[in-house]
Amino acid sequence: MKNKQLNRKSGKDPSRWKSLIGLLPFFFFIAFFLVMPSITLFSGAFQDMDGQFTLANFSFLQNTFALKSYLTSIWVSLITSVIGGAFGFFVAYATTSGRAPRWMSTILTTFSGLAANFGGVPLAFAFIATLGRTGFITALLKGICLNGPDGAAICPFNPYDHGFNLYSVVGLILAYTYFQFPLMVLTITPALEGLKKEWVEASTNLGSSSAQYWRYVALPVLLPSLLGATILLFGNAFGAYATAQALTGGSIYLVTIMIGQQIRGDVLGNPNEGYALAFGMVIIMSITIFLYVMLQRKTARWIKS
Amino acid sequence: MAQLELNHISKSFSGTIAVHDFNLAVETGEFISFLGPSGCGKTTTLRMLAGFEIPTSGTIRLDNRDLTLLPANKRNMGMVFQSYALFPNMTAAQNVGYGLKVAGKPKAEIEGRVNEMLDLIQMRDFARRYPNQLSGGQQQRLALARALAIRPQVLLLDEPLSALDAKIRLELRQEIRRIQQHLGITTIYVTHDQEEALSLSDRIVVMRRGVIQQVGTPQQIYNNPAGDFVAEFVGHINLLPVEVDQPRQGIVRLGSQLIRAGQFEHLNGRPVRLAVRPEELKSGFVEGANNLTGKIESVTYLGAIVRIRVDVDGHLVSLDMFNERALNIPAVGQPYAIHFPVGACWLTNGEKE
Ligand SMILES: Nc1ncnc2c1ncn2[C@@H]1O[C@H](COP(=O)(O)OP(=O)(O)OP(=O)(O)O)[C@@H](O)[C@H]1O
Ligand SMILES: [Mg+2]
Repeated sequence: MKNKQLNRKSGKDPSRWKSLIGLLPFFFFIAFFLVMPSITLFSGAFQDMDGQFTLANFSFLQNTFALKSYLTSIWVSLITSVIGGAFGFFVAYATTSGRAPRWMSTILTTFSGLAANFGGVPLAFAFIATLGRTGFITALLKGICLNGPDGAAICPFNPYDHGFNLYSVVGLILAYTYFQFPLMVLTITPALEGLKKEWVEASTNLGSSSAQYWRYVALPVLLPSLLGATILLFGNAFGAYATAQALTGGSIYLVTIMIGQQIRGDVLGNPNEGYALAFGMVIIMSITIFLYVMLQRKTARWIKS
Repeated sequence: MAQLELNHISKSFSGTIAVHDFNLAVETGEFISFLGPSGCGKTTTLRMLAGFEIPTSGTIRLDNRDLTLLPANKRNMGMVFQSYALFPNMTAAQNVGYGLKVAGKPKAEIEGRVNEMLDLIQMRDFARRYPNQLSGGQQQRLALARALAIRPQVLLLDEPLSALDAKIRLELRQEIRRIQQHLGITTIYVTHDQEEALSLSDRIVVMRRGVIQQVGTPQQIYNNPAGDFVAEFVGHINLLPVEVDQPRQGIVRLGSQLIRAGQFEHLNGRPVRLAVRPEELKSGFVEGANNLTGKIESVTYLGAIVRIRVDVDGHLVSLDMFNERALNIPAVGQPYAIHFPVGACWLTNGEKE
């Protein structure tokens, strides 16, 4: 009753609604491509093929194979966000610290914008063409002779004879890092640009070393942004599918690849089990984001109010 | 023996000369202002003192020790920036204690000193606030406390008040002077605001295009400016183009009216200008003084003072008078007689540019 009255009241104010009309396409987009698929996913996870309620889809929880795929996914995502993140951070710092020429940061930003969105089949192909068994860098390396431990020359040097394999987890990490690092550059650059020149000077003036400045001022100021960017990178890798599929042909079991196999629609697949696996991913991302919010509160006390 | 000495300091940035042959000796406890228009090299000189810029040539000595090349974090000079430059991630107390913390001082000592400093700026109650929860004036007071907490030998301030509004600026100006005198700390204060420089300083260094124009007490600078630039930059002044009428008697002519001025030898035929401050001019006729007549051109009411511009044979002469409730403000266009003492004016041979 009370709600209805409230609704009518706000309905009387036409300007408020008019201002929302511009957002309609956005709401439609959210409804059709986020809310509805999520509902399908959530309900599908708890239904069998005939639409009856069941928890059977979650039987994968007893399946070490499926659990391992979660671990692999989390592990690969963590490693690539840390490596790509650290690398991206240093590159972004080098260009924003004012020592690099302006044109260089322009080039870097443009490159990062491209590379961060360069994934899937083209990226996999690019890596195969360079570091694959017959890739051109592999070919180049084969033409170089190296000194072996016993002094004798090892010729030719084929990385594939020395434990390297592009079609393995190592290769996957390499390929993921390729789009993780520019994403870090893009997300952390504004935060680095927000570091005021006067802060270093004030800190130095008060007697601090450069390390002390980073420890007490720069890193604490950057920490909320660094955390946010790392979460973004983690989610970016965690949800990636096409790159891994194209590069390793599905031979490395990431959760996304498992889901892909379940919902591809062949006889062996069970889409509902795929939904259940995806549901698990949503839970993991939610936990991650929850942890992030907690940390954010702790590290960014000084930003609000 | 002066505490701080700058000897023949010059600084150029890839060809452009920012500071040229700067010489200054500062006594312990002295409050010195660098005053000059934008781009004259005030900040550059201050930054060379702080160690953020290395002089192209010359030496800086503090307590008879050469620190020209000493790294900025070893100089023990407290600096206050125009933009406050407080660390946003630290509370007021942590900001003030920062210099002691990086110096590895014990916790109890830091706490004591921080409280002492917060009391000095009367901000004890704000100890736990973050900078973005403080007003601009409070932030700048905090920055001052932070710079003083390390017991610097010299305090450096670069236009510390120019980001604040007029009322706070005045308040804080007095507070800076109070604290400076209380601590007896040698202070270099950069400003382009002549009123600030005049009201705060023991001595003022007037600069122009990287070169010192004059060093002196506020009174010396104001009453005996070394050249037209200083005269015009510090305070208001009438610089009237006059013609030499009777060199022997020291008499010049403004339009058709005669004025008795000071010494003449240094003028030898070049264009001459008569300098006189607006507050030296009075209305009315007085026997024995320099008397001029003209017409009121404009009247500007500034509150405490009223600025009247009088057209004297085609030349505008400004005159300032104190406001009084009973003051009869003359009307524009009205004929007007003004006078000033002979000793109030002087002649310059006009380095007009
Ligand atoms: N890092 C720099 N690189 C090149 N030129 C500089 C640099 N710093 C200052 N300058 C030049 O040196 C001159 C003096 O600059 P400075 O900042 O000392 O002036 P200022 O008196 O502080 O002026 P303002 O009142 O505007 O702050 C200016 O012409 C400026 O352009
Ligand atoms: Mg300046």
